[in-house]
Amino acid sequence: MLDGPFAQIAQALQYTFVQRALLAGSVVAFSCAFLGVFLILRRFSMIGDGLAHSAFASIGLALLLGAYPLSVTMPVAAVASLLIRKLSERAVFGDAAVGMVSATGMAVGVFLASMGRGFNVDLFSYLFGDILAVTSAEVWGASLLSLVVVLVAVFFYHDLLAVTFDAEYARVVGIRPDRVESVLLVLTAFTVVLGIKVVGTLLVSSLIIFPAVTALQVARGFRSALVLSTVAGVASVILGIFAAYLFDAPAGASIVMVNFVFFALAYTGGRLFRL
Amino acid sequence: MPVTAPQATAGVSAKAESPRDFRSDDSSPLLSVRDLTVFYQTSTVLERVRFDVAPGEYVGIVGPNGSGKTTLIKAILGLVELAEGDVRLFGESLSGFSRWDRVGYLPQMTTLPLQRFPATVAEVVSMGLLARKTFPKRLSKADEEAVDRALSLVGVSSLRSRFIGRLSGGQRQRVFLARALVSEPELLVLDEPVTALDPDGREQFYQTVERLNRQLGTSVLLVSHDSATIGKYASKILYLDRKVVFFGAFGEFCGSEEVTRYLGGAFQHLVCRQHHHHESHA
Repeated sequence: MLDGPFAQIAQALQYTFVQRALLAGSVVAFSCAFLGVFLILRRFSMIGDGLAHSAFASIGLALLLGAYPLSVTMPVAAVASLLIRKLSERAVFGDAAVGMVSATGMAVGVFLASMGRGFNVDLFSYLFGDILAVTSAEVWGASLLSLVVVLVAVFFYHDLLAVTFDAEYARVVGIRPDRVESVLLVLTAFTVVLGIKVVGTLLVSSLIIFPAVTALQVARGFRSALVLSTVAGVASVILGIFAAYLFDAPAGASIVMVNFVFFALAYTGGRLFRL
Repeated sequence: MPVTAPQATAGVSAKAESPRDFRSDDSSPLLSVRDLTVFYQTSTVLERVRFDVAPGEYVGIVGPNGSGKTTLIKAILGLVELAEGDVRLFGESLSGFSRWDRVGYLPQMTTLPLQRFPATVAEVVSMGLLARKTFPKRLSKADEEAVDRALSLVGVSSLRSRFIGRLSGGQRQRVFLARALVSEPELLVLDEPVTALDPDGREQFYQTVERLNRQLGTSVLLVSHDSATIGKYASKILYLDRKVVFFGAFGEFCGSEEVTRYLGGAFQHLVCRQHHHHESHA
């Protein structure tokens, strides 16, 4: 018998699919939130959107070919991330490069969807996310990716900070900003692809942007910004999934709403306490 | 007025060497620039620039807008591609040079959007130590002390835990000077460091750099728009206008008829008056 929300949550935790959703969502949110701090400070906030849309095109392609989506989306998103970097470095402004790749990816996805009418329903699950349908392989993939993100952070923390702060100065102290940025963007691409499963193509950039922006309202240093961002990201996914379960609401949208509440609290708190 | 001045007109250090010999008579130069040419798209930004900076020298680089001053600095630091020529730091060609901790760099007043950047002053200054770090880069207790020394040297110890984005322009510039100094470099490269400072801030900044030069023997290469003031502090002047118009000691600059012909005398008079004023007070 279910009495209150806690009892309902306790019951939900008995289900394997809920456990998987929480685990996959948490590790993806961790990676998104961690990378988000660097991306936002490098003025690449919308790169999650651009990569998600290019991944959308490759999901369409994978479904059309009958291939496993991740095997196509991972390399396509990685190439798209490097393309955005190259375009923004040489030809166009960074936000315009993201916009171009994003629009092209979405257009190709819609084009492919119109070609293969039979998989339109599958494609829509990628648009809005389907975290309760996460497989064990995806949980392992997301966990492995988070581990890589942590290792990169531990071993290249100072390089990442220096390049994010001032790429030109970083070169003068012997760092290769092109390499550091490429690693950052490829990790972002992989994370976004896995994030699509959690909140969908349309909302994945929120997992990158919201926790980082929330952390920047109250952080007392760069390390604390990283910690706060990852805490906010992971907490938003856990609370969002619980809220979705309790109110029978879409998980992706619930996660984004929780993120917005966190931001509002951090913004207000930051102003009130002059952080 | 035709640009007819030869390379390094009266240059003391711009001697005619063979390619094998980069040494000046008295001491090995920290920096040797030879026939440096840089193109930007189809135009020539720098053309066959030659000069040396010896240990302990304070060289002021001046010239009109668009004369290639910042490009010269960036070429010396390996930040722009050289079309021709050679830059040697501490006797090593740029391509093989790895001891960037021996060079401190203060870029032009930054236009970086730092307002919400969460790095503290100490974190920013410690970036200057990364050149001497190998994988995996870790900051030690000694590094923390080096950061404290650098902050103290430029008089901003109290800002250690403040966010870089919340400092005034003058405070931020001092922090960036501390970052340039934290590795105790032998050569300090400063690109228009006082542009956004008020007159008092400029004077304080110049005095700090002069103290480093005189007391610690740090060589200084300083790009300045503030041509009149640079005459007070620099031991040599490099007048750049895409090519080297003049490179040498101030005495030669002030007495050079060739410079008078090239610059029309007004600039020369302004710089030399300031320099003499400073010398008489020293």
